[in-house]
Amino acid sequence: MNRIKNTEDWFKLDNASKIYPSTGNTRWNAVYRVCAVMKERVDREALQQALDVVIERFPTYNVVLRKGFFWYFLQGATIRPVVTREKDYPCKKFDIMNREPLFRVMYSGNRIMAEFSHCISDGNASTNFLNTLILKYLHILGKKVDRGTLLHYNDAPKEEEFEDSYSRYYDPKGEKTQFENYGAYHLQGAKELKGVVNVIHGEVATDKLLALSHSAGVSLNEYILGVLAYVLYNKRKYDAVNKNSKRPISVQYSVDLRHYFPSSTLRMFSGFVNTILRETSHKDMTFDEILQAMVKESRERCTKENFQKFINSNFSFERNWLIRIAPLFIKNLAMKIAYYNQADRLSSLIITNMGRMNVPAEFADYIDRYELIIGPQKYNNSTMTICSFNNKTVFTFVKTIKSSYLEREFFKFLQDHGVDVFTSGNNGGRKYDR
Amino acid sequence: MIDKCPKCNVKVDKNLTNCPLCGAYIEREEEDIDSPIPKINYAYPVVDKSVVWREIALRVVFYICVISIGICFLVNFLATERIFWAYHIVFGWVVFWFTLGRSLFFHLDIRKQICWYSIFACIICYYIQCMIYQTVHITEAQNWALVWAIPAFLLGGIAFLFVLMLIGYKDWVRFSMPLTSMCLVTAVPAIASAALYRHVHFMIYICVGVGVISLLLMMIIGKDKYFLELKKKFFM
Repeated sequence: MNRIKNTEDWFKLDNASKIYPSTGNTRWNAVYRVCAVMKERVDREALQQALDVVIERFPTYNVVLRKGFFWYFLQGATIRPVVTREKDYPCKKFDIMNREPLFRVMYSGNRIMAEFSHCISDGNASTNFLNTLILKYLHILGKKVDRGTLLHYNDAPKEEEFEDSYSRYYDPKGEKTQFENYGAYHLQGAKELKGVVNVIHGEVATDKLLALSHSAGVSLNEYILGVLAYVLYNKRKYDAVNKNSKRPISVQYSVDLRHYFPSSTLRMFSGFVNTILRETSHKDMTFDEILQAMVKESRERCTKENFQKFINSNFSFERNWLIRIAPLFIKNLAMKIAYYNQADRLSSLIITNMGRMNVPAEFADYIDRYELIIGPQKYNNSTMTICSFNNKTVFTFVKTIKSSYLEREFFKFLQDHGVDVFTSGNNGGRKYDR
Repeated sequence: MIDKCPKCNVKVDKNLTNCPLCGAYIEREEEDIDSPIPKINYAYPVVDKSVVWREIALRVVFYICVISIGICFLVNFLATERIFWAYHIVFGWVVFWFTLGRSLFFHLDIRKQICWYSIFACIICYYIQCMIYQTVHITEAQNWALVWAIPAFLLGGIAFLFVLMLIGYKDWVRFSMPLTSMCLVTAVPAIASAALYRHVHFMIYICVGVGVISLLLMMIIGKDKYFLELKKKFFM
């Protein structure tokens, strides 16, 4: 990497990001990947040229994480980001100690991918980055593509794109979320070797999936929620009776708060909803009962009022003077405990639905599909993401256990309901004997 | 081009020989196997799962550390029915970790390491001195660690950081914070000396003086850059 400038740009981490550096350890920090599978093989030189231009449009991304006495902060990196060929498992930990920038752009065969630390951005904002990168890449290759609603690489960065939107919508006198105290059921199984990440993609036709969910009278997101809860419910039924199998099933899904609180920030601004399967009787629940229970729970929880409470409670934590004056090592300890109690422990599975990609129509000529990969969680063994583009919806399961029960049953369910599934994956990084 | 898994009935990418869901082998037509890889290739790279030596070494060191401490405490207790030397082993491991271990296993930045090396060198000197005299209450004449060794190590650390700062002068701000910490640490022997003997030794005066001058130099020459760095480090 070349040194290009000595920058003095620095900024505080936004409210929701503050927990990630503190809870990271030697093998984990919150990393996710947005990826586009192109119809042609990727030209590395053109991609590098595109990145050189586009990174100036997104100055909050080429940053390194630094430690202050009271808080972590982000500082502009002095190195030029370089496009590299993918060699490792997806969502590899960033080397924060050696000041590795908190994002990386890679390519491999037909894939263009960008990996981000959650300290700097969320899925929605980083998809903007990827799309602008692809726009420039296609322009360099001489393709005529209209920008549509994308951020253009020649636009100047705007002030509101850097804001911490949590602070904007924080209401000091407003209600706060009550802490929940339960442990959710977790999928268990033989662990993969340390560092191994299993990725399984399942591609389905969006129109068929939508027809299926609409026939049940629910949205696509709710339907998926129901199917996943149903699969987990069946799995738990046949698990050995132990402490884990007595815990409730809870599926956590992330929500882009920009839908509820207008913001054009390119930093993190997302929340999450834990939908717990409320089992009303000791009888076996049918799929319809589970679906209705999950939909009810989701609709009750996924409201603007609840997200306002979520923002208030998160931000009030940061504003508490006792927290503010505590040195970082004490905060780290407190955040580790808080993360353990209030994050992964409360959910059996974490899902992220990126929805339909909002890109110019011409992109369909060059891009086959989008994929989103959330790196393995600290305590949870599996995550799932959903991404739709050009009538292709891609489900991506990431897991650190060998068992593929969840994805197998999930895709089997869709297949049984007339939605054809095309699977691909990384085979745990093992060699393909083709 | 894309075949179905006989068990799951899902279509499977041509790059995979087995179904990613159930592991079943996918039998393909002969001509299908020989056909070129499709234009859109969904394959992931094969990851070289070479052994991560650093992680293994870290674990080995950790286990050796725990076992040796356990054995030493046990032997010490069984042999003498009281523990009087086994805690030196604990101290030895702590020193090893903060001086060599952390930098070996985590590739710590040399700037931070210089700080730690200097500070731990001071602690080791004091520790050795306590062991030699079998007490922590030492007269001023005997206290070579506080009077000579500790100022010497702190001065050495400050000088080393200064040299690195001069070498990397364009990026000197990166060295300013470890150097500031070192300068502030010089107050510790001064306070200790004043508290123990109601008198601050000449070497400690030099040490504090060098610290103060270094701080002033950074403030005067660095101006805004230095204060900005301080602001970054101490914002609340």
